[in-house]
Amino acid sequence: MSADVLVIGYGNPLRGDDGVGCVIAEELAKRISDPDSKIQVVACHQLNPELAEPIAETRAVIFIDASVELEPGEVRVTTLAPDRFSPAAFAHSMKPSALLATASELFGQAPPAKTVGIGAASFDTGMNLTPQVRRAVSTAITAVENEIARYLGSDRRHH
Amino acid sequence: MPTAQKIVIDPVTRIEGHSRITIHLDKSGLVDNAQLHVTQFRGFEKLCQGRPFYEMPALMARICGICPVAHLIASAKACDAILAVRIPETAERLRRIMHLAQFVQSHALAFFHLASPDFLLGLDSDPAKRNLFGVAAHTPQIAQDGIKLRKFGQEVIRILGGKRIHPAWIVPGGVSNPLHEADRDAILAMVPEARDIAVRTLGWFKRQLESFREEIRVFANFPSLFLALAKSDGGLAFYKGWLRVVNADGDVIENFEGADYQDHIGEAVEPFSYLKSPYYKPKGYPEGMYRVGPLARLNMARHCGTPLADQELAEFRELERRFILSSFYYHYARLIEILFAVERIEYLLNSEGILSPHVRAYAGPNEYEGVGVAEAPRGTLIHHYKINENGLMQSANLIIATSHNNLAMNRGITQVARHFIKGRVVPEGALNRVEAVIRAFDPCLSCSTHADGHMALQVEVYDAEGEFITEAHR
Repeated sequence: MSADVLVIGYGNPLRGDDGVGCVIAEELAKRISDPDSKIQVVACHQLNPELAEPIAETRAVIFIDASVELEPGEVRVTTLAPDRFSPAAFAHSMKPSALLATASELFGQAPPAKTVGIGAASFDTGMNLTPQVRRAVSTAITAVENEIARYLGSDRRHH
Repeated sequence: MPTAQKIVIDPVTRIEGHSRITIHLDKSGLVDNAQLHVTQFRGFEKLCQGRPFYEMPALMARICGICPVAHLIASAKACDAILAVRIPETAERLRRIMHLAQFVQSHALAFFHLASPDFLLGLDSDPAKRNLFGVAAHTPQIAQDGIKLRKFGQEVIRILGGKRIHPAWIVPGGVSNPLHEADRDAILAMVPEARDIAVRTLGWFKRQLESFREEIRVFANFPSLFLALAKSDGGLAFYKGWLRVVNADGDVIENFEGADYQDHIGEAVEPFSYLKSPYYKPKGYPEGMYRVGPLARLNMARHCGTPLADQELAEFRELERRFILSSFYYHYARLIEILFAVERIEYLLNSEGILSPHVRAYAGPNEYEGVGVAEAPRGTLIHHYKINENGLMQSANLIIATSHNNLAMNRGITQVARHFIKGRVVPEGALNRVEAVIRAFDPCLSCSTHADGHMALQVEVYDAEGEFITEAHR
């Protein structure tokens, strides 16, 4: 069953704030109790190429990731476009933009995509988030839920 | 008078984690040496301290997003040693099936997604197209086959473990749940396609070899020791066996038990890298350099134990009169191991008793120390735990597969850089070859971070005094 909205939180859960994407994805998964939900949530260590297939089958995708470019605790939603040339493409992990390009070129479609970024403070080895990132989790969850509602809302208007 | 310069490739594209290469030129513009710098610090050993030892497999599996199952296996085996139990035969076979699936998945990523653009499009081709998109445009089937093989591995792991990433199904003493008939049949139904892909990819790759004679000659092609698990009959081993050290002539130097690794393997630390440099102690450092991974395993395997892989191994052996020393052939060995893994999964699933409900041995801690050794896709993986009388972790020592190859990778990039870089003007294809020799080893630093914005690609040049001259972005 393909999802209407695919939410992918990723990062290394043993590297401090890097794992915030996973923490948020797991929290969101708990909130979705309806087994027939058209929202699919994935928590993973890193983005692997086979995610391109479910991405191509969904109407929208939201990535959740720690960011070194934002201030610690800052939450920012950005629109993503497919980018086959992103420099880190085809390391063992992929960038979201390269994954979108893979979905488009190998599976025929790249849906609209957003990234919810959370500014990270520390990547030291450990399973705990820093206080400022922990405080940002609820803001980020609200941001993801708003994006989901926006996609599902626009979907209803179209159909 | 020309000054010496340093070229920095930062980070290496298409390998995982945070690393860079510096190439040091001498005053005449020729390559003096090259170094692989790994800048990520690993502190996972500290994370374990004070936790119950039985939590280790689930925790250790989270270290790596690429080969969590290898960490699971090594960790569970270390815990089995602490329990001092022999796990049920069915549990061992089920663990092996998941482990083999991980090999398929990990090797497919290395070959199809990272390396195949070089083989299909050429090492000098346009870097903007030298990626999976370029492969898909040129020969769509290769791109699709790569994704299908990865999916095969993922699905087997999902079916067995119930969760695709970091399955907690492998536990101290065995596995948590037996295999159901329907699940066995579901996996068996996927085998023929995976086997066909492995066979046709091998056929294709072998036809390409003639075009890469120069790379085969200089891609980390030198005598070294090799280390891998090996069965007592000399067969290919991924899950258990002796740790065997073999020299470049193919002579067995030593067999030893994994539990005794510290008597045989030393770990040096170089100031330029956080990655340790293990070496074979009796030969000293750095003469005790050895290689691990697919090339090491197939070099020392007398047989694989499955029909098609054994045919391929026999052909592989024909490449050289004695041991195969060029690291370019890591790719070839990887493909043979994919074929072996698919065949072996089928064999194990059809073996008697595979659906047995007895899949776990129960015990409390009976030893204060345990060592678990397994072959990860990229080489030997060692987990060593010490606990106190309450079963709480006192210390952990991990030797990851990538670090075993550290010395050989450094020597390999120097060899390639010396061959392809002559002077201050460095063609892109030469830089790609320096990266490609690293890719042949398929190093993994997936234990590092993946945050947005961490990756940037640049080449920096320094003069003889270490002063920055220029930089280039690629």
